[in-house]
Amino acid sequence: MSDLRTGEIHVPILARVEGEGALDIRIRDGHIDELHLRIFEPPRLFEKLLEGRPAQDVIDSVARICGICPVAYQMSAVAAIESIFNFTPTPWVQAMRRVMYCGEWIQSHSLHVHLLAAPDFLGFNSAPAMAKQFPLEVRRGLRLQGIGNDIIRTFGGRSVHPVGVRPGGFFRAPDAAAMATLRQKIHESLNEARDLIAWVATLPIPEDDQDFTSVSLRQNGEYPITGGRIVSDRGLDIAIEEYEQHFREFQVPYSTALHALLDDQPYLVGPLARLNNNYAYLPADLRQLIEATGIRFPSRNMFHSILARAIEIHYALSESLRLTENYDARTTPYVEPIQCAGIGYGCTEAPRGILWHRYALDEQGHVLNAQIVPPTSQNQARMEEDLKTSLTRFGLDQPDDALRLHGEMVIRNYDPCISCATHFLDFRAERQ
Amino acid sequence: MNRLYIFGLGSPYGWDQVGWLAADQLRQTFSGQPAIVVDMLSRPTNLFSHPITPMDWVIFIDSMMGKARPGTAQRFTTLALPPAHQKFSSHGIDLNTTIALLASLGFSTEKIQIVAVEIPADTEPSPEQTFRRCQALATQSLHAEVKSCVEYWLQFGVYRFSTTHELSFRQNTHVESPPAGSF
Repeated sequence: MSDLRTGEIHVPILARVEGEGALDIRIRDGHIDELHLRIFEPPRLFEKLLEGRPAQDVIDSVARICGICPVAYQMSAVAAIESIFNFTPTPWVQAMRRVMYCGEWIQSHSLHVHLLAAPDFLGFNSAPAMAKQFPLEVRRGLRLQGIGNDIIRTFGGRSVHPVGVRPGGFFRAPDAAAMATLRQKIHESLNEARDLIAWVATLPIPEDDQDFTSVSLRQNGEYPITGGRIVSDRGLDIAIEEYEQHFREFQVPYSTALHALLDDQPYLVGPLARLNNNYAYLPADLRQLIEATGIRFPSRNMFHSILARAIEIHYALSESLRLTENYDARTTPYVEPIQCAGIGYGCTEAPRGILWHRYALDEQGHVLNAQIVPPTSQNQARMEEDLKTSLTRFGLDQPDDALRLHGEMVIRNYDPCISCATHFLDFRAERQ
Repeated sequence: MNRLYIFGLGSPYGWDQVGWLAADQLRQTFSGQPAIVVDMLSRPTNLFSHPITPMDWVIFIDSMMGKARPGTAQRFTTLALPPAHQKFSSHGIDLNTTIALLASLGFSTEKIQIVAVEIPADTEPSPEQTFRRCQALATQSLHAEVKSCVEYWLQFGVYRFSTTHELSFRQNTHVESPPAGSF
């Protein structure tokens, strides 16, 4: 009979994730006694910074929470603000916001698939190392990322911290020539997105089915991006205003990122959760592509997240083409809403999952208080739960380096955006 | 046709604009040269949206905080590129990683050059007018240095890393750094 393992494993810096995080594991008698996903990125205090700001400042400021998902923050914020003003955007604005958001999905997912996650599955420790043997695939991924940036830039003036979104719509509508050029690029990239799905499906994906709750939006019979109700695969179906009645954010002593629970249980948000809950709303031709891979959804294997992202890249490209098919550049890009005081909510599907905002505004439209719940925070508890299960199955008697790498792979499945997760810290100042 | 790509790196904010501003000026300077392609990138990996091949040459232009006098433009080979001492949250895809990707994809590092202008290290805000004046000087310095590199490339087909070539070329083209006290 072998001795059961006792000891500690530390991953001081998580590689190929955005932001600063670490993983600490204590093993006692062959079981994981303690596991902490430690986030030590400094908190950004955005919710406090927004107090007293006017509505447009909120939209431009929250984009700076993250350099890879600024559109998501802007869209959740503007949805919340417009709900306070009792304003419904025009169908054109709703459609174009959905297109702009597609751009963010494409660029974020492409970066993750090719530069962060794929090296894991192919046994490389970095994207440059992988690029030597897979140059065409890496270049394809970077071209797709560029298409995503082009979409964002078309509506927002630039791809990093874009500036096009405002209450009531957009500051300007892209001209017809710009839209035609964009549509041509999107159309030319569809075949590459299809090839990407096929390629990702051939990666050696570990078997690791687990029991978890998938939470996402469900949006009026279409694949959710810019709004809808919050649903789960365990029967949850609530309006976004009811979020706080079921979900609870709290601080843990070892992390500057908040954790969240659904009815006191961990849950998953993100591409796999979206796909699990909304597979039927994908276009028929895309579902055929997926079925041809042999991988079935809903899936209980977090390692299928990389395929979920590849699928969503294709979806976002085709959706962008559909929504811009009869593009009219003469459309009025915004309608001025009438400001009023109140409390409002916005919830959209950031690349990494649902992003929930709540604002209280005064009569001048200035922020009284703000609450922002990013997807990476919501996944913290699920990540730790996943790590315990996955590492135990992997074998705690494996060498430390192997356990470290497997732990990092599990974390990278969630594509955590640690900068987003550390936007908040309970802040009180005593002045004497 | 081999091309020379000039990529201005940066963002719309503060000193980080200098790479973009210089690239914008260079685009106008070389607008009649079909072999010269200039673009402004918010992320270095955005260069792959261009049909760039290992036969092409690349110059990255940016601002930097080093130890030289503010306003001084410096050229670096990929080997001489100083490591980033502070990593900002940019999802890990910085210039060094992008250059490593280029090398992995068959690009010769001899065809990659970085030109950066030193910016002030202090973080205290300056009056807007002072900042704009200094920013314009830095942009001018960066533009002049890159223009000199590109003109050499157009004439000789290589970058001017040879000291002998550089000295004689400088005598003919008269490249200057901003005078002391400009910043």
